[in-house]
Amino acid sequence: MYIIIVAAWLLLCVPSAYAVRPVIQAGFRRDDAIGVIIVLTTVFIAYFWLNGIKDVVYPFAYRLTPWRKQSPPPRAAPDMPLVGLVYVTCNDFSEYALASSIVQDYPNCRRVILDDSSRPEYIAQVDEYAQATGIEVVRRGDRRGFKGGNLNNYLRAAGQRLDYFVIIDSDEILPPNFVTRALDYFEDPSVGVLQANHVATRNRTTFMRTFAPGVDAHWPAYQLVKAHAGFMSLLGHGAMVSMECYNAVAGFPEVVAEDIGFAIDARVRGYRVDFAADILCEEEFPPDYAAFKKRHRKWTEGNMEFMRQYTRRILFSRNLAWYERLDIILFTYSLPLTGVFSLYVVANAVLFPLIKFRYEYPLWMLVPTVVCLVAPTINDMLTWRKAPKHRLVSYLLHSSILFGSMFFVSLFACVRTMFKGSHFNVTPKNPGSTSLKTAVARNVAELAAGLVLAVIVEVTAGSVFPVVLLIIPVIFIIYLSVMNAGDTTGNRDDHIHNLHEEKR
Amino acid sequence: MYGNTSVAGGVLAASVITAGSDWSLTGFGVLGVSIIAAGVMTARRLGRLRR
Repeated sequence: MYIIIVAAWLLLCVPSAYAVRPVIQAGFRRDDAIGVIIVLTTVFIAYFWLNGIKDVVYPFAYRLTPWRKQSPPPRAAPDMPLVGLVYVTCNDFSEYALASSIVQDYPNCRRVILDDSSRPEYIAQVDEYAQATGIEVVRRGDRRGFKGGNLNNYLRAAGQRLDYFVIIDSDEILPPNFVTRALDYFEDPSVGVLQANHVATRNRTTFMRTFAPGVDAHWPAYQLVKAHAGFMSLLGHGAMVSMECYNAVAGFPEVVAEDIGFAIDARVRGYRVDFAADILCEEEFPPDYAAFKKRHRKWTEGNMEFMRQYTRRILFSRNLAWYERLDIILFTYSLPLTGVFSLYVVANAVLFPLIKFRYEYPLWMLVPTVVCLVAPTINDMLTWRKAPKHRLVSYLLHSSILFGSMFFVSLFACVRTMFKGSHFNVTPKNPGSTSLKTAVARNVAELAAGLVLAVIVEVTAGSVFPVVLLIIPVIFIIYLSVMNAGDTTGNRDDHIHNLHEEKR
Repeated sequence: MYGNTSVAGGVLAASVITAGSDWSLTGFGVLGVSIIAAGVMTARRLGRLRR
């Protein structure tokens, strides 16, 4: 598949290189530094074309290949390996999710809560639940190494008696056949990790209901194709890991992005991550804009840290195929690189106009760029093509604004991580205030950055147009922040209580 | 769209390519329409809260 992606990309790059050559020559004629900046900018545009072509090919590969119909048969072995159901929580315990997940049709399971909570109300909830059910609780003296450290604390000690373990996030709900079916995949000895499929449920706020369709569309299409033709990563939850693989890797890396780090370490040691589209777990989408932002910040900071620590391994490991390396880079490097690429915008939209250096890229280059920009929506459009058109259009516009508005969040996270290191922010599970005042206060940095950028570019370049696509999502930040106004079922506990009532 | 990390990059690419253009009025027009749309949508949401 990546041969097709790279071939299509080269077909686009060759005429572009010829078209851009006069611009580059003009740059070098004025000053070597300007020429170098234009070359780097062109490379950056080419990188995003490659990323966009990937997003065009992925949804079609999912639908046109037989991969969707391939899954292993039930295993024949009569043995019953010991499987640990490891529930990881940090001030976000959900009794409903845990109680739903630990009901498995596989008899040889050991259940344990790894509790990193610091807030007394959550510690009390965990203790109360453990007392009522007899489930084991493991706590530690510090929170070193984030989630990876929490897992290692148990798995390197008492967890060693397990043959396999399942990582369950606080909001995760496993289907009752999770363990039975997951073990089928481990009949292939190269499989060290099995990542299950997910849908977004318990959508109790307007924000969740608006964006949850994206989760349901993304998981099966992207992860299945990655498992067959790219690099399939552990995604941190709803996954089973063999203890043999865990020990070969020497535990989880104690970094923010412990999941992808572990997947690469496992691959380097000859194990692979498989994807089970037929095991459908449930997860929760962030309940409001503030929670979504927090999760996005964690991803950016985690990917920054990952890039620093793993680039050498990704580039030079013999066990990684070239297309796996490329897949990893395209999926995990874009967020951290936001900071670097922003410098190009500053150079092109601010610096060049200031020094009176005028140039124009061929306008036709906008066509593939716009196609690549909307490419991530292709999978959504294909998945939800039978939905009412107005709802699909509304979803796509909302998603574009939401992800577009993350630009400054990523940029600030990149800058902060350069000086301060990464933090593991637990995504809030309950929505916050929807007042206008709170919305402005929580997003003042992004609003100010958007305004400053617009003014600077208008003054220096004589036109705000080059950055309108960066500014428009910022304009909608307040709207995104007050989307839940008027909701009556936002609180998670109340919502779960209602679910119980409905079941009765 | 979910999980997509390339939006920011695509936006940057588009902005870089149009950096040399002179579409000031169009830029202001687009931003003006966006501000009105965002204002109306926000007011409708907050109106929902008051009801």
